Amino acid sequence: MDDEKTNRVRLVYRFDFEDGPEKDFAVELEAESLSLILEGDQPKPEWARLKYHQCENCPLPDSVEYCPVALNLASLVESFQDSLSFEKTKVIVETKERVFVKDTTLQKGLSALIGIYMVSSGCPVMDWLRPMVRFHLPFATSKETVYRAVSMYLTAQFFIMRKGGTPDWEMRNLAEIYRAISVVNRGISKRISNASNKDANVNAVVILHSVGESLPYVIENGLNEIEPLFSQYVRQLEEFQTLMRP
Amino acid sequence: MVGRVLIVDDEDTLRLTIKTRLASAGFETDAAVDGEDAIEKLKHAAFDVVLLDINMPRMDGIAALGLISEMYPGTDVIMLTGFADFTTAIECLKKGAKDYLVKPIDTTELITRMRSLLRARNSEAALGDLKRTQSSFLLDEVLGSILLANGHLHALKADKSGRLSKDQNQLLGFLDGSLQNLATRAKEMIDPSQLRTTSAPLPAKTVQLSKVLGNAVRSFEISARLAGVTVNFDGDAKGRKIEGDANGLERAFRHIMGAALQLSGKGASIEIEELKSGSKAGVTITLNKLSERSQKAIGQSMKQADAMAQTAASLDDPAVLLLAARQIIERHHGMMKIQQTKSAVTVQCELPAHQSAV
Repeated sequence: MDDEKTNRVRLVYRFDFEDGPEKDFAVELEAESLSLILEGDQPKPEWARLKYHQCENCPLPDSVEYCPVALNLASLVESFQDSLSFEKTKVIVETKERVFVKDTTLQKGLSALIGIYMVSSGCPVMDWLRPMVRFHLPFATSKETVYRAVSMYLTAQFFIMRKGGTPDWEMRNLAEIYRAISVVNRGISKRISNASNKDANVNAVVILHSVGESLPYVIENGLNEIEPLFSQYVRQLEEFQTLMRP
Repeated sequence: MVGRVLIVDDEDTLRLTIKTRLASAGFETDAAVDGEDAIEKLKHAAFDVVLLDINMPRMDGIAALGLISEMYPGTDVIMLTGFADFTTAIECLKKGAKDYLVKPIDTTELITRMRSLLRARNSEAALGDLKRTQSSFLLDEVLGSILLANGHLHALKADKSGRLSKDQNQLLGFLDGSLQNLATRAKEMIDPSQLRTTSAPLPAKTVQLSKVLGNAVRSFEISARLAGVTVNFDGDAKGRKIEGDANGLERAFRHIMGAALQLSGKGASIEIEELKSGSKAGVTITLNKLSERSQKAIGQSMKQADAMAQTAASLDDPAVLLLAARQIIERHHGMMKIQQTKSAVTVQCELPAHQSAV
């Protein structure tokens, strides 16, 4: 929900369990930077220290004491440290524009929420996905994520082109970005694994990781997973562009 | 090297990612949503490797691993765990898992491990085939032939007609010693556990059973006469035809005849009859008029031939010959049965008849 007065984007994730209390998580982001706003005293556990299972590709200097992704995740991880990944839950996601509801597993619901926390943390690697937070799609399938990631990247290339830069229409760098993100996902899963007694938190990151891992191959294979969806549209567009040619 | 892989995980995103990556690396893949689903899939298709998640609803990975190890020992299992719980991982390795991977999985590493596992499986299978072929060859063709030659030699030595000179008898003694040494070495090299697995069927041609039997019987006529054993075979020129390997079958009947001769003793008779009815072709070899000593020896040899777990070195010569015969008959999709009554012993060999004969 965009709050024009406070210049914030607000989302609420509600986990409604069959046999247990409901758990709510309100996520507030700065509308323009899409950075997570953490208010009040936030836990700073040992596993959130930068040096604790630091990602192999972490570009942050030693002067940074805590991993920004880990700090963003600390409260959430604590809430689900004793939960099983396949626990059934109803997840309700409220944004300003709409409400999403899905009967799913805890790992699936958590992965959507963890995705927001990671991307909005200020981690220089995860920052590559920052615009996607504004167009957050809870419970996205692999295909939907591929489409959103490609759309985000190509939109950015359009802006680069307009500014006179050299756009990467081949998306060569997008595959590299996702390879770097996979390394971060692995690093975060190691931190979380040591902070959890059961597998819900880790498996939520595993879901994000598996989508991220497959993306470079999907790009290298020419987006063949979603290409058939575009065949008719591409034909129409080609005809239209031929007609419009002066 | 194409391997068939079953991916078992309750999370669809993970199943799809692994499936896509493995398929692009050349593996044949299928997926199951939990342990129960995996067991169902395994009932209907064979897989080289199962990638098995540990925490799943309905049937978890550890329970599924137990069933897979028991029901499908030829399938290798790699455990996937989202939680770096090494106690559980070690428990899985003890229960038969080949490896385990901690999620999130680096799919490039997964592919490397899968390829290495498949290479090991292929080498293991090739070694197994080689061992089976070697043991089968040593038993059927080497040891069987040595023991048959030895049997003939004994018959010759037992000839008391005085037709052999002292020197000839001495040479027979040397020959006997050499054959015994060869037999001992061959027995040491046979691994009976390899014989438990069915060897490849022998090359099949249309074979007339009576012709094969006649050849086998003829090769024993002199030895039988010298040993004082009567052999009766009424060959039927219009007898049954079967699909099989003439050399192999002749060897099998010679092995049975050789064992029969070694066990029957003076005064006994061996009746050889073809099966005349039904859709099966076959032969019944009956040992009659056996002495008490022969009866006992046959019982002993039968027990030995049945207990294939023993080392070949511990089997007596007739037991080896019966075992070798049974191997050959089974490689013809047939069945060999030995029955002992108070006064006789029958060895019955049933073989699938040639189609036109049924």
